[in-house]
Amino acid sequence: MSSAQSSAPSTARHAVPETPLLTVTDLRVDYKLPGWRTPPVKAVDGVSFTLAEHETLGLVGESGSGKSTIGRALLGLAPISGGQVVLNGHDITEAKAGDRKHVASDLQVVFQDPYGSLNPSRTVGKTLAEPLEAAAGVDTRTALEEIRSLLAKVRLPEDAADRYPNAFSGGQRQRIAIARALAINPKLIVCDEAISALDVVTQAQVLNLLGELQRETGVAFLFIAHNLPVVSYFSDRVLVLYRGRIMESGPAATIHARPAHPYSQALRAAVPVPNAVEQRVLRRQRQEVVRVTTAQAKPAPEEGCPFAPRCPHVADVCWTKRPIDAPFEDRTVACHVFDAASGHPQAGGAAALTAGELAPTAG
Amino acid sequence: MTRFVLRRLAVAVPLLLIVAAISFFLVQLVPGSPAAAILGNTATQEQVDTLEQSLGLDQPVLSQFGQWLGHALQGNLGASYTTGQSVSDALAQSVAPTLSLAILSTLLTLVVGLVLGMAAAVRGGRTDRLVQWTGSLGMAIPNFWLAALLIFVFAIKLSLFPAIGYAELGTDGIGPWISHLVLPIIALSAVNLGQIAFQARAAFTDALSRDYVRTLHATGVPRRRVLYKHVLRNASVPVVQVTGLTFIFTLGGVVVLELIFTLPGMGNLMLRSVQNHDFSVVQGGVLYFSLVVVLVNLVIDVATAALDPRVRVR
Repeated sequence: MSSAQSSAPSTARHAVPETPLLTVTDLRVDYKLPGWRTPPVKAVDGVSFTLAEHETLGLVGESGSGKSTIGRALLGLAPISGGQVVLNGHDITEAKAGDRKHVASDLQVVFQDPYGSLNPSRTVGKTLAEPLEAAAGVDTRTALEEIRSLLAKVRLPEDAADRYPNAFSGGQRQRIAIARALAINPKLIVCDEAISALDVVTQAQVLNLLGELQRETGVAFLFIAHNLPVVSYFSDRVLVLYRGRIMESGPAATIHARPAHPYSQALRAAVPVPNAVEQRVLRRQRQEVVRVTTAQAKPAPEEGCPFAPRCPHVADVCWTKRPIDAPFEDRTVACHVFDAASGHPQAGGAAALTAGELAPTAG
Repeated sequence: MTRFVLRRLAVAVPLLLIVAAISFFLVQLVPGSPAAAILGNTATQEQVDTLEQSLGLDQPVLSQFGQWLGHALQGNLGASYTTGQSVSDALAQSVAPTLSLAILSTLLTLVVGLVLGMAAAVRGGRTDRLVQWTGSLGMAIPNFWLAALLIFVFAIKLSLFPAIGYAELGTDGIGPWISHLVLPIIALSAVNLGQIAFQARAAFTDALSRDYVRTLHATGVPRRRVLYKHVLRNASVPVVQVTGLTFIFTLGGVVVLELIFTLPGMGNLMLRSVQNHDFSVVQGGVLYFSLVVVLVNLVIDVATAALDPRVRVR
């Protein structure tokens, strides 16, 4: 990937076509906790989005934001308690993992842990043949041909097919996982923290590989990660999630350059930079932006904004009323400051907030 | 793989030597002379001395051991002090009932235990509880009591199987052979069945919770295919290893059951020889048992390596 392309990937990509590949409407995932009076954890709390063919949608947020749960729900691994998932015209909301042979040809996955997601007692060739034989019904002989071309696609040597996963490094294993996901030409691949377990150099290689494969095959990616710069580098659009809700959504480039929601700003400030002086400035900014960590924060209000306990611009309305998805420039922001009719004292101060010039509220 | 097996066999040779030496010297510690035991209470000291001399028992222990080992290496384990029969022949006659019992019982527990454990892990809930109850019950029942109960119900009341005795597979055919072994096998298997089932349940639960299983499910590989092509193989490794251990314990349990069912096996032979101070038979028997244990361990290692390629690399 040349540097010209890598600096602005999103501008080169396409607009959203009319019928999206994936439509998620008001998705809810509740996890029951032990104890008869403990309310269930709302891991995903009414999330709606669409994903077009060839598109890369980034899901970003901190641990517990529900980004991985969304991916798992799409794969039938999380208990969906409300909403609808439509993939390529088929409702797959009810399709549980293990009974979704018909979904497999459209939807594949690359998980975070490249060590755990490959069966250690099967050769790489057998692992790659599995989706071909199980889902596509290809016989072993044809599968061998396919495997050779798959290994070439992910830049692994041909003899890798006869070796076991323990002979490969983390990056190589992740390539194997990518090859497996590509084996039956799916329309969408969920990348659940697919590069988070790798070191930075390997991350870049795998990202570039994913980008090249997307141009070759036209596959769409749902790219789940906690690192805002990486997500926005790789994605066309980004959803910023916090406590199971979408905080901000819009084009990757603008969200990365000028995050609007206070939480997006905090996420961006959380990424370390190499320069020590800049890092010190950043740390001070972060302390201004976010009052406390998630663990220290008061529980989020049932009805208000989930970010209220940590937000520097919190007002009374934030504790009592759930913010609407307010349009702002080319994106939507779920924050009362961006909603002129919300009753927030700083409502309408969106531009100042985005520029980082809005003073924190007293609350 | 051939190198792996050869290396294991090479390791087994010194192991057998050590076992042979230990068994030989331990037997020397048993009070009382075999000669006195053979001749009975009325024998004079003179008679005992003469017999000891003719049996070679008057020589130093080390030279006795050297002689015995030299003969053993040529396949000659000496003659029984009491009957004069060749020890090799005596052992060869009694090894068949013991091994039939131990091997069949182990195969039965392996297959049934694996199925029960798999069902418990995959289905959970009521199936799981049922398997746990049955397994615990099997482990709680002493095998001699179960043997007596089985004889009472199935041999005496229902007359379905013979109560005692043994039929040769070669001369009497497979029907009588099996029917004489059914009750001892059940009595012997009850304890191990619980152990294997619990081990299998834990192994399957562990294998099912692995990330690659989740990945396979998520990528649309059907549940049944995941279970039989991926989970079964990985879950079998600890189960096979535990089965090897239970086989070795089973050899011990066989002694009691051979007494109850009066099977002419190794257990009965060893017990009789110990009582008669027939040390040459005891030593030969110990050597046989340790050979079986070494071979079983080898089989387990080979099976493990066949199931899990990571073992082979080492």
